[in-house]
Formats: sequence, structure tokens, C-alpha cells
Amino acid sequence: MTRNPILGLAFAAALAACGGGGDDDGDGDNDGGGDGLPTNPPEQVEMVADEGFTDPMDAVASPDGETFYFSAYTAEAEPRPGIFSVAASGGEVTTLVAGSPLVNPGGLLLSADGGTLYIADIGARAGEPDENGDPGSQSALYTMSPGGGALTPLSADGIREAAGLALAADGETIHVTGYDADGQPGVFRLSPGGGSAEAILLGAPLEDPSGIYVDQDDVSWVMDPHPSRVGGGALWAITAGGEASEVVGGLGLSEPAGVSLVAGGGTAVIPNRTEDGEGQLTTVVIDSGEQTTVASTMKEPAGIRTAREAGVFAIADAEGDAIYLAR
Amino acid sequence: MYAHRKTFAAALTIAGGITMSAMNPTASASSHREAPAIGEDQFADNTDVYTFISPENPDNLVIVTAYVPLLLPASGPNFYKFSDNVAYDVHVDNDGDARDDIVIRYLFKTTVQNGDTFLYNTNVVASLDDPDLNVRQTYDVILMDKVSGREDVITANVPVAPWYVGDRSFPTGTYEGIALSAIGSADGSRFFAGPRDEPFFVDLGVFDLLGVNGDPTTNGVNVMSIVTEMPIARLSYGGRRPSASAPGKQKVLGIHATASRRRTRLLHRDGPERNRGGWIQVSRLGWPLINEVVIPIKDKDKFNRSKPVNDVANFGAYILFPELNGLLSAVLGANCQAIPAEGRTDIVGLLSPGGTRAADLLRIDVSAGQTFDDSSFPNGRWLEDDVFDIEASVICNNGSTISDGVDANDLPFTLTFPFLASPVSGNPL
Repeated sequence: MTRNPILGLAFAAALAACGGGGDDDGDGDNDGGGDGLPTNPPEQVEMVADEGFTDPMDAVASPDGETFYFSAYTAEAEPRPGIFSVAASGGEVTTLVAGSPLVNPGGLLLSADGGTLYIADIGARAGEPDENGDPGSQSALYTMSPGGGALTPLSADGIREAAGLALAADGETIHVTGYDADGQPGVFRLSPGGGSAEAILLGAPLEDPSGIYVDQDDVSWVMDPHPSRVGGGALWAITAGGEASEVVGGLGLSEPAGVSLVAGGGTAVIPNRTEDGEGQLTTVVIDSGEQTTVASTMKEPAGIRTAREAGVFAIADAEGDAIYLAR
Repeated sequence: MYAHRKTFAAALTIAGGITMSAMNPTASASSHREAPAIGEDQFADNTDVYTFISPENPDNLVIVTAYVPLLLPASGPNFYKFSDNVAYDVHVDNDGDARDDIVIRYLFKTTVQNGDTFLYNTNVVASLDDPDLNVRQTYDVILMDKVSGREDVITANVPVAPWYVGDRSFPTGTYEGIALSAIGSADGSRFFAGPRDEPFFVDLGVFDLLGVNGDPTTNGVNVMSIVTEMPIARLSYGGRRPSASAPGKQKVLGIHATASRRRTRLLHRDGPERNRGGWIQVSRLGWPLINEVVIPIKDKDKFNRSKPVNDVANFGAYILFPELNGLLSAVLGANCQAIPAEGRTDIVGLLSPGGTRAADLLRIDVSAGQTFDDSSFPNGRWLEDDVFDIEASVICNNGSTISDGVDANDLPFTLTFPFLASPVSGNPL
């Protein structure tokens, strides 16, 4: 059995199969069909906040890129898992919610209108007793207002553990990475109001699917740290029909392992570590496979998400206990 | 006990050598529970690394890595094993830059045949596939060539030798045959994983204010052991065994071992734990005793998470100015030679043979013509090498041999694969 984790350019074939990745609007650029959306990959990274929380996992940006929301733990003697916000320009961090029933909220998603935060709690197992022993009260997914307030469980039948979240091309459907009731890793499709989840892909080649981004062609871009490999994790392109192609491998990834495309598509942005353990962003031009790296002061960047209408990215530095902005 | 010593150890031994047992001096286990964090993570604790040219085949290199320290043989009912949640890695640098060129990973999987009993085995065990062997482990071996990026599963589902529960489960004389039937092979390589007698010999009384009495405190305990024998050519620069005239950086392989855990461990009240994310290195070993008695407490955990390529920047001062030198003199009156102002550059030299980058790697010359008889610490490490005496003598540097008074293992090693002595029975009859 041979693996080639360095660069599996088979993703070009996958994109061809699903009709994506090209110059969809005929304007001469490869913007993935996202007219008017920013398409430039980030070139610099700067810190936004590093106080008032610890161990951040995932981060998302408001559509205009002005506000970042992130999952982390409170900076207390007994840290509680929570959801926080901070202005992209910096300033004081606001705790939106903290403590039970959250366990380990590793995945965030902001709805297209910016009005709803979706939370995937990989520490929870849907349908099982909570901290107080109440039967069936754990939820893998929650929603809440970005302004704060209570968490509302979101049903997702068929998903036992949820890791990453992304918004599909229709701007409503949610794609979820996680595990089904049998422990099979997979990518699922879920309506925004919850209900039964539909598996897009279950099992191999996925091992431990984490961060996810969905482009305008409904291709799910999924990070997997691939614990059975020596060389590191990989980015997979998974078509709406469940066909998976490895895009790039050999990546030193955090937990969660984040991925975003630029808002207009065409370029994947992956937080990762260098061989020497320094945090960086790797950008991959989807058409050509060309990779570039953006150095940073981050220690171990994890979750990342671009603003839907602005050319900025919110990044959680899991080991650096900080939130960063890339532009 | 086989004695083939020559070169370094012999060169360090002079007439009138001092024995620490005679002067209440010091000693330490190679890397057993040597740092705060790994002391709380026994199954990922890398205790020793040995490497030597095979006495059976001079074209092969043997690498012995030991994990999970100081195991009492009668440790039932949940006898020791490898962790299913740890990546046990062997790293090879074949061009002298102190970076990985080859990584060999062992991943383990445990199965229980019958969960309705508390017994490890439900009757006398006659073979590895005996239905009465209730708890079993297998492993996959993955080899990655970091230069090409090629990654191969070179063998899979190889059985782990069972724990030597006792002589009722393995009637006297039968255990070793069953254990050796767990030897795996693929493409000219051999593999063994399982419990063996702890090969490291030392008086652990050292940690009682540096006092030892020559007590062989690691006798009678076992350690989980992985033995890899692989063609030298497969591990060498360019896929060929270097000639005797090749550049030093290519003649000398740098070996070290690590253990890694996944970044996140999720505990559930009512079920098994879940481990998620990429691997984080939590234990590391090249030379014996470096993290044990050279690196101070404040940096021990950092050492276990670091890479050899950064050793000079991270830990160079501790090598240049080893604390043990002063302790041997101040506490034990060993009259060690004072460390010169520029530090112990001679030790740095030992860590960078043949022009290689200085790093805590167990280096060995594998060029054509080198044989088992040339494999003696610090040119590799054979099981019998009394590395504490060697290193303490080097650090003291006064021309005398510093000894802990324990000069050999209690059980003999063999010159046949897997070379380590059979584990101690949990219930000898």
C-alpha cells in the first residue's frame, strides 16, 4: 500500500467532475462563480486579541469582516467552554455564553445574514446524558444569537458527534463533518432548522474529518489530520455526490484543523505548522495546485473562516491563545 | 554475556578507575520517568534507544526502542501493553542535518476476545492464536521517506508478543517460543514488539541524594520493546549503503525515537475516550541520560516536545556546562576536571561525528565494512554498553572511570533477533 501525501492533484479531476473550479462567469478569472466577492488570498497576519480567553478552537467573521466570533475557554481557574466575540480591530473580548451544556465547541458557523451562530460541540455525543445526568440532553449542535443569550439545541439525526460546520452554496443548508451513530467518520448535509442529516460521504478515505468549507459548486473542502499517516494531514475535495479527491497532504494540523476558501472561491487557505513548528497559512490555488505560505507569529493556528463579503479571515491560534486576522 | 567491546568505552577506562559505589556517587535510569509531563503518561514514555549493526547480518541495522518503564511482572489483571492511542516512531537522519529523512511508525490495536471475563487469558496459552489468549494486540508498521514523500505500510496486523502472565498460563519453557513466533518480517526487514526484560542496568538509588550502593535496581522488571531490523541500504542516503570513503554525513546515521499523542483527548462519562487531531510529540530519546541528568527540570518537558535540529539553540548550554560535572565534585568529591570557559566542546563533538549537525541523536557509522563489533556507544549502542559509566566519566573528565557499581544486566542478551532477554515471569513456579 502506497500513499502520496505530498500533493494529490487528482482534485482537478474532481472539480471537473462537479463542474467547479473554473471561470464560471466568463470574466477571465477563476473566482468560483462568486461575482463581486473578494478573491485575494491573505498576505499578512496580525493579532486581534490574546486576553480574556484560553485555548481557542475555531473562529468566524461577520459578513462585513468587522466582528470575529470564536470558541474557546474562559480565562478562569476552572476554564469553561464558551463562545466569544471581539472586534476585528481589537479591543475587549466579550463572552457570549460559557459553561454547560457546552463541552468542547470546536466548530462555528455564521449564517449568511450574520444573524445566527451555529456551534458544533465535538465533546458532546448527541442523545446522551448531560453533566447532570439528565437523559438524552446532550446535543452535537447548537444555535445562538451572535449578540449572546441562550443556546438552542439543533437536532441532527444521524450525526452523533459533530466537528466542523460550513454553509452550502444555497446559503442555507449546512454541511457538517463528524461521526454517525456507528462511529463512521463522514460529511453530512443538514437543513438549517435541523432534522435528519444526509450523509454525503461516510468512511474512507476520511479518518477524522475536521474543518470544512463549501464552495459555490457545493464541493466540500474538508481537512483531516489522518492519524494513520506519518506525514501529516490532508485537504480533501468532496463533491456533492460524495466523490473525494486529495488536494494536498503532509500538513501539520491543529485540532480542529481549519480550512477556508477565499470568499470568491478559487484559493484554499489552510492554517498549519512548518516542519519547525511555526504557525503559518498555506494557500493553494485550486486550478494549478500552486502553493504559497504566509509566515506569522502564530504558534498553532486551528480554525479559520473568511468573511463572506470582505477580504479578511478570522483565525484561532490554539496554542498561542490568540485570535488573528489575515488579510 | 557477549563481550565485543572496543573503542570508546575501553578508551575511557583507565587504570585506577573510580567506582561510584565506593564513593557514594551517582547514577540514573536512562530515560525512565525523566520529565514531569511524561511522568504522568507512562504508556508514551520512551525509556531507551539502542542501535547496532546486526550480529546476524552485517548488511542490516537493528534499532531497539523501549517504552513504558519499570513494569512489575505480576501486574495483572490489566497487564501492560502498548497504547492504542500513541504513535511510536523511529526517526532516521541519513544526511547529517539532524532532520528526519526516514520515519518508521508503529501503531497498535488491542482486541479482546471475551469481554465477559476479567482474565487476560482464560486457560493455558499454547500459541498466539490460542482462543484462550483473551487480550491481544497487533500493530502496523508505516515507513515514510521524508525526502520523496512516499509513505508505505510495510507490514500490517503483526501480533504483539503477549505478557508473560506466569508459568501456569505459559508452562515453564513455552513462553519464549510463543513470544518469538510474534516476529514479523517484510521486504528484508524484521520486527518484534512485546514485553522483554528491562535491558538497562543501573542503581536507581542515585536519586536519594546522589547515593548508590551498586544495587541493580532495574533487575526483575520488564519494559515494552520494539525491535526493528532493516537493511542499512533502505535507511541510508540515496537508498544505498555508503562506502567507507563516503562523506561523514552520509556514513553516519542519526537515530532517535519518539512517542506522540493526539492533540485532544475527550473523556465521556459513559464510554471510551476519544482522541482527536494531529499528533503531538510527548517523549523523545536519542542518547541515553540526556533528558535525565543533563536537561534541568524547567526544560525537560520542552525537550520532550522538541526536535533534534534545534538542540543547540534550545539546550546547547546544558551540554556545554553539564550540571553533573559540578555535582560529582561538590557532592561526591570526584575531583572532576573543571569545565573550561568555552564549555565542553568535546561533548558537542561527540554529538556531531563526521561533520554532522550537533544534536541528541544516537549516531552510528553504517558504511561498508562496519560490523557489529564496531557498534559500541557512542557509535551506536549495544545492549551491554554501560552507558551510565561512559557518560558520567566523560562529563567528569578527570581521567577516571565513574561507575554506579552496576556493570551488566542480570539476564544475558542474545546474538539473535530480537536480542533482548525474555521478560520476567509474573508468576514463576
